Amino acid sequence: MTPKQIWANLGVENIERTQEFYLALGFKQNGTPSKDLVSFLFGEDAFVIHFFKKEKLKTSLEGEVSDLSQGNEIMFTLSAESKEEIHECIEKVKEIGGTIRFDPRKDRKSFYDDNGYYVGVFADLDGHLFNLFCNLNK
Amino acid sequence: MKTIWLNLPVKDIKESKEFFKAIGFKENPRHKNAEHLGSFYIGENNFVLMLFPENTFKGFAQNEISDTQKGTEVLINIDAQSKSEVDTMAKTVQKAGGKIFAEPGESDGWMYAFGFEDLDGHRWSMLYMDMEKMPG
Repeated sequence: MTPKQIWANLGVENIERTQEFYLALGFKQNGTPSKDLVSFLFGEDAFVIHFFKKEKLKTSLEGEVSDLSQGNEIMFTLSAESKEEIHECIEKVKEIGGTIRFDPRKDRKSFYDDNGYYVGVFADLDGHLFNLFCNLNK
Repeated sequence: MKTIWLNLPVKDIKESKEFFKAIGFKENPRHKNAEHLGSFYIGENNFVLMLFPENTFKGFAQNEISDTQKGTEVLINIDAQSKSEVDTMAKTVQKAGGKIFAEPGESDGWMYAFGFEDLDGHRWSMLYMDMEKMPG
């Protein structure tokens, strides 16, 4: 089996506020949003994440959309080039209503420190997680 | 932010690695022999899928892991180049121990897809799109 493409579909409450959130973080919009879908491109290979209205995603899943207050099923990692880039992203996320789960300026983890990793974690407006990762050894 | 990759928690690294190998995903040579994680390349851009034991994932995510039997956070999509590829993949997935939640079938007259759960209940879909029949 040789798939050429891979993309991800996530559920959100509100298309407009999701659009504003990811635009504010500097991500590139993929096409024109509809009432059920806004899509963004991530990274230099333009990985696609479709953000669907939850009710719409439900029909593709043929199952329930999970309640993220109970936990997460996945987490994306975004590579960062510097500590500053992570700090800037964290500040922006705070300003636009996301949640910071790990701020390397105050939270510590020996696994990261010992390996020379610099990490921040945030949740978007619906609770989807992103891990900001910088390898300081490079 | 140049790169994005996807992290999935799994109960058993070894079994999950076998599963993803069996359904045709390419192992990331850098982590091929690692026992504490799994890493695969998917698609022509070598999108990276990382597998971590649930406890490790929890530490990274700073959160609990959701119960995939109660609900799903993401539908991960891969494409197919033909309908028969979709049918073959459905058989391969079943043989490898995955669970089909949507049998291969047409949708909207130009798409052909099936959906499956991996060993941990993460939901995937393989989709063939017939661009000639796609509504303009």
